[in-house]
Amino acid sequence: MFWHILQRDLKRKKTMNFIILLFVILAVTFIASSAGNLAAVADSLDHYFEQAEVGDYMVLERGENGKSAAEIARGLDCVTKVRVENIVYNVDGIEFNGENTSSSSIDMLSSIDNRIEHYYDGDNNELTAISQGDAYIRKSYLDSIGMSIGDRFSIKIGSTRQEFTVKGYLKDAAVGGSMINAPRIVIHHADFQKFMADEAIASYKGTITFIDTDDISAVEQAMNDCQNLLFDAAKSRLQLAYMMEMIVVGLLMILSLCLILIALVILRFTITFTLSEEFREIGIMKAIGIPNGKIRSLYLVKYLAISLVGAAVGMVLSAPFGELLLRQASENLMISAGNSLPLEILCAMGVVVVIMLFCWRSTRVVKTYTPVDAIRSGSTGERYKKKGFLKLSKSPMKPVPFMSVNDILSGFGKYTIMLLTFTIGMVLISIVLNSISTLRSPKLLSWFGMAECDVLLTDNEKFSGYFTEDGREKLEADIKAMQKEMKTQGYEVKVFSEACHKFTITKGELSTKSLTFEGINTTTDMYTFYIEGTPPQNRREIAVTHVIADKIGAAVGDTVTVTSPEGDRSYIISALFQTMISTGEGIKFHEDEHYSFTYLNGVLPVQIRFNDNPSQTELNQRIEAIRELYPDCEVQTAGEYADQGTGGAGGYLDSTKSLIVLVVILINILVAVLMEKSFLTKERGEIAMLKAIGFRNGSIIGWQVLRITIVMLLAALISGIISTPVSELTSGAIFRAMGAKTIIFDVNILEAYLLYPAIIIAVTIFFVFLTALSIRKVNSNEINSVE
Amino acid sequence: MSNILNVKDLCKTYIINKRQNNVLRNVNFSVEEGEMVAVMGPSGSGKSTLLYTVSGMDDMTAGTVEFVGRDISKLKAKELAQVRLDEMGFIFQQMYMLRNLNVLDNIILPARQSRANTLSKKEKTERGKELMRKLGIIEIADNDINEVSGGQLQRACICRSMMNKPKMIFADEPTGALNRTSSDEVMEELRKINKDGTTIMLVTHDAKVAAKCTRVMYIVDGNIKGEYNLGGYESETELRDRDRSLNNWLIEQGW
Repeated sequence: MFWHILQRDLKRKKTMNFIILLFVILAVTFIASSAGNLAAVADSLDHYFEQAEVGDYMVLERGENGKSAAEIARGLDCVTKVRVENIVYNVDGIEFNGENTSSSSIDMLSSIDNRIEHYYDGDNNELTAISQGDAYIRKSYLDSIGMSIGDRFSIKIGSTRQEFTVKGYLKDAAVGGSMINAPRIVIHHADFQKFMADEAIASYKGTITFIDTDDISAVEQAMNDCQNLLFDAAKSRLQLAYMMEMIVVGLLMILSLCLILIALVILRFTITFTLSEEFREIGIMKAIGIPNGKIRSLYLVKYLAISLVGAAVGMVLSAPFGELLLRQASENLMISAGNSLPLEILCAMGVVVVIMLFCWRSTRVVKTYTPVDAIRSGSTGERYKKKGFLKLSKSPMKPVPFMSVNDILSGFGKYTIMLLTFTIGMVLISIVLNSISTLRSPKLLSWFGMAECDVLLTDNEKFSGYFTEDGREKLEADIKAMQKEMKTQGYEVKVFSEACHKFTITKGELSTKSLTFEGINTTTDMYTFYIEGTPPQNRREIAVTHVIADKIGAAVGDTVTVTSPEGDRSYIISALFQTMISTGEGIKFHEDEHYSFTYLNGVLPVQIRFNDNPSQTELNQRIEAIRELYPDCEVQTAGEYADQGTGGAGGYLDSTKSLIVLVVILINILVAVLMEKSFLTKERGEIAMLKAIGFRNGSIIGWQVLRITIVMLLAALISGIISTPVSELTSGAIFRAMGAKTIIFDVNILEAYLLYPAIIIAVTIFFVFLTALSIRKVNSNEINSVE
Repeated sequence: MSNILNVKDLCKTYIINKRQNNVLRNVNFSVEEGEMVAVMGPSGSGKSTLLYTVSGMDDMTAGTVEFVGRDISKLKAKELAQVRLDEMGFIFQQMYMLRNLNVLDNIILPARQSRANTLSKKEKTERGKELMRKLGIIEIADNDINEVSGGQLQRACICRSMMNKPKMIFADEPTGALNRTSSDEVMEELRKINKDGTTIMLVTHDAKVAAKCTRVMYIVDGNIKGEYNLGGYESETELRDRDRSLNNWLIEQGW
């Protein structure tokens, strides 16, 4: 008898049972794939660096003055191992399709045989050999210069030119982070040796040194004596270059947690919803004397059967779904889900257990159902609390919108899953959109230690000529000439630049090395990056970043010493500022304070600010004119420069955006369609009645669709209100980790609050509409046969 | 009096598991304006199917159904919905109403949906209340549908069917789910409505209910086997006589 009832139930309630099955599949797919991904990305960076055997400290050198970093390191007791690799700096960029593609970045050429770390290809296989004429390059770098696998390009260093074919993507832990603007090109040893044999490239030769140590600060202090040092950083700082990858990983983790949350809420709803529909059967079974335990076990067995089938299907689907989510995050990083089958099985079993627990709790209501429930269609004649919230008789609304609004207000609980799902999805997209528009905002320049401007020009060849004693005069003369040329063209402009050194700053016992900024043709009040105090007013005052202030325990008003090859100079800190260059470390001098360009660390692009505030169209025309005037320079807008400065993070996130939008839309459609299907099943009688009394199909479909549309609009409203603070809490934390203390998100209102919500709503509603079309099959004469 | 409903050679066939089931076979009958016709017959004889088919709720396999001079078999779904909304009223055994609306709102719902009903929103509400007052259920106007008894709910359904002043009311076992007292009350209301000029066609198993109608049609195996004209009545004594003679006739038919 027991099995017979169960068999009949499964057969008779095909639609509802199928909906439960779909929800279980959805829950297992989400939970198993998300748990797998969370496990894969949680310590992905540490795991990647460990597997690649990156040293505890890395030093990039160029030139052969004095002691090398390796020699200095070997003299330290705390150093356990030193590894050195010869490389060649390619300052002229690479030539592709007859054009120089990367004049604003410096590539590093490495031989596969000289490697001191493990490289991996795009499929996470270790790269141990490369054929002659082939090259492996970081994917994000290739994307930024418009190249792809199979493309041919050439490199000319000194008098040697060689042609290469992009053979594959390179995953290179040490300098592979998208925020490192010096990507590595790995080639065959013989090709590398051809460059090395060229006598004209002596000044382009350099080394990468990995130092393994148990005292990072001792190595850091010792490297102050390294004259060839271009860049040095501990492993933890190298990992910060993966910040953008980590944003994607972070988003993936948020998405995964959201999916788990949604899945659990869906399960809870489905079980309580379907059980509440069973009052009639339960009442009848009780009426004929079947005990509570037996009735409960009937439902428990039914749900166990459905959840086991759902768990098996969900487990199969979770692997490709997880891969899809992980693909974007693992572009530059080696993230592999590995053998996640045990975890997937565990998750699937977990879901089954959760369903059974929910079911056990929910079936407790069996005790409260009475035979009268069966007889009186769930009504015992007692007075329940009011269901209707609004009154049609007092409402100016037409019946269809009235019924939609009233249904939502009368049974809000039923709509919370949809509201929660839609809101989470829209907030997630807003976080990505807000981060992208902020990363591409011209305002971001102030986070790079620069004054705001309209256009930036980079000419590495010319800039390398400034690394001399008279470099300042040359740069000032070039700026003056450019300002004159602009005036000739009819543009009223201010042209300026920034010279950077790397000096040691000390307060008491504490000291640290930091990048310094000297404005050329600027004044300290042109900068908007100050977060405390007043800009330096004279050459004895400086501003430091809050990161530096924390490191040396200084505050505004304190006196500090800056040590350079020219000796020690004392300054009073007049202000604190923020920058994302060099992970938040920086010192800003007054415009009258000069250091010799002999010890120059670098020159930031020449900046042009138009005094007449031109429109975007006019600005674009002027940029074109400047491009023609300075064909050897890379000309960028402030937004383009900011995007490049963050390793093309805007573009990187942009491609992630498509994936997240797709996943959000898919989840919305699934949840909305399944909910709509369950509503249609439950409301079949009401639909039949409305048809019988003369409601047209269109009106009934409108009623069904409008309810979900209202919930979606409500979700868009809530997400609009909370998305900015949530953005600040989530991706803002990453900006803060890069050195920015205060973040004001640049929100594109049209895109974040209108366009994307509209797309998501339109697509989801279209599918709800298609689902609601099934009401046409409900016959008005079914009214007496509907339970 | 002219005919409000003319049914000619009406056939309805269901195909279940490739088996043809002829539920209605060449049914012919008419209903005059102001009549109150009961359809009786054994279970599975096709009573409800006949009611749903002639009221346009279900499509027919063959034949014609003329309602107020229009062949409803030729109307599109939209037009049929319009006819049901503005010219017909429906009462069912299951007193189906929208769960999230109170009783008054459920009653005025068809009027608010109708474009043909030219009353203002306020007037429509007033009409709803007026009907409730007439049927003695005004005190439950603000109640939820699960707060009222079956008899009250069925009377509310009658009010709803009357909202757009229909030309004809179709009722499928309107007292089927009610006790005798409630059943009598509901039938009394339907009789009053009929007296006021609204034509009624109802399906019932109950001879006492049928005895209150002006004519009874007896259907067997999808065919009208016989008709019994009862005419009107005024007193309870008359009703008892009608009851007796109807029962005798029904026994003759094989009831």
